[in-house]
Amino acid sequence: MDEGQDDVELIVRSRDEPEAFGVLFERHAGTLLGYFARRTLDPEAAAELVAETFAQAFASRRRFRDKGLGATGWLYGIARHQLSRFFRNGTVDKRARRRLGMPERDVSSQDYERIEELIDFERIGRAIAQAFALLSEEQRDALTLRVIEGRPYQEVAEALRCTEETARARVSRGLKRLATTIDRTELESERGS
Amino acid sequence: MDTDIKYLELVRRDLVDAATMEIVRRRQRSPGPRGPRWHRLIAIASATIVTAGLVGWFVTTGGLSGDGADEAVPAATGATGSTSGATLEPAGPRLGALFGYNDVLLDESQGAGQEPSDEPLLSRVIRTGRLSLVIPSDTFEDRFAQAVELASANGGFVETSTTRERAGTLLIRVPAANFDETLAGLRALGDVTVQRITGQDVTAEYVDLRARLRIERSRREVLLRLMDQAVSIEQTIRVQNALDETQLRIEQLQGNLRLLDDRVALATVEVSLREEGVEAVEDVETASLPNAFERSVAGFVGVIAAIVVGIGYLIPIALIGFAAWFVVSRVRRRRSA
Repeated sequence: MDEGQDDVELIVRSRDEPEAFGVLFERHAGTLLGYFARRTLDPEAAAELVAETFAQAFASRRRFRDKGLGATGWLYGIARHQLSRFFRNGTVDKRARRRLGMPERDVSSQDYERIEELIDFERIGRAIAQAFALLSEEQRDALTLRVIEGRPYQEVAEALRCTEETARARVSRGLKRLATTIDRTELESERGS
Repeated sequence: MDTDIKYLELVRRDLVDAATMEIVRRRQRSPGPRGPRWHRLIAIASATIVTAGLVGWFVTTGGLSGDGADEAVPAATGATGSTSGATLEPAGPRLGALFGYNDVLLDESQGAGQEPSDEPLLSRVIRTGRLSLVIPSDTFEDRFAQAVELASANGGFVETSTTRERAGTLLIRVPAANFDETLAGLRALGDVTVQRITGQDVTAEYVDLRARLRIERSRREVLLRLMDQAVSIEQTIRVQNALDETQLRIEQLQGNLRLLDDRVALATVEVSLREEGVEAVEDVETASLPNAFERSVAGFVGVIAAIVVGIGYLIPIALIGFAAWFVVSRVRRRRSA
């Protein structure tokens, strides 16, 4: 019966039926794990982020309102929030799990390897190469000098015959565009898979 | 689940367990669907407002004290910062003692030798009374003279007086300690048609003025020291200007304090006498529709003011209660974890 219900119905039902939330978890945990793994490149952190995201989603399920994004949009909203906290603090938040009284679980070595497979380094490499090719020549040169060769901005500016401010701007814009393109490619491949 | 990752299976189980526990706990806490919860919220809100109102009323009127029977104006006049009642005793000192307020006042009165008053009085209340009396025919001159005598017998004096044919008004100032006695004596002169007694608590204003005076004096001392250190004419002029301004403010504050002292030390009684059959020119209070409306507005404002005052007292208590609940719940949760 659960299989036929959409996510929104499951969230509404989960207010009184615990198993409904379990079904929601089964539907999205795998995809979400891939999402986190490809962004953090850290299997342990990715697994924990999935747990924390669902714990947070469970804690706030009563406040859920379908505003046209559906349950997936809501879930990924929480996931993005958790991810940004992880990048900011360097650790995965545990508050939601603690509040629910969930135990901390270790990631076994078999799970670790399975999650690494999800990361698919080859695909990420391809995505980066594609995104890099889409940059302007100026941005590519600036990124090569600064990010790949690690030269200081003064040298980057001299090599590109521009001011340091311009060199900084090119690197910054190039990185931003790179990140956006990779993110879009990732999302498209996640939707496709 | 489209992956065979054991971690996810464990998390799924933990989540379902946590969800089950949460739902069970909620059902235990909640007696039913929406209705009772709303009822409970309304009941809590009503109880809070009533409690706040009672606390505010108790604080502003000093509980059940006060001779309300012979008042022409209800206690609601307290809403404008004054309190009413023939045996008025403001709550200030009692609450002051409760929160260590008296010590501050004592320190100030001891530490300020140049204050207009060094009296260690803990509260400052300006007492005012208005009486309208109807006296028997052909007794106006006698009763008028008796009222004047009564004022001087109680250590007071007549500040102003006006007379017309078989009627007149006196503005009497008497020491606050003899206020009740003077009123009682005046009441005996005739039939009381209107009586109004008010007590305006100016303790806060008084404390504020003294605090500001202390600050200004400290500032003056600093400026005097700066004056000694000034090396150029420009510096000297600048400090002198600041010193003049500070001195002016000190004198203004002292003047205000003296005025307050005077109004507190000497109560004011306005008494109107008229012989029977003489029409009242201006009664203190007359029963009329506009008057009733004013009183109802004053009553409304008084009740709201009492609730606001009560909420002010309840907020810190609620905060302490919340902090205690928070600590206890945290400790319990840790023990159960």
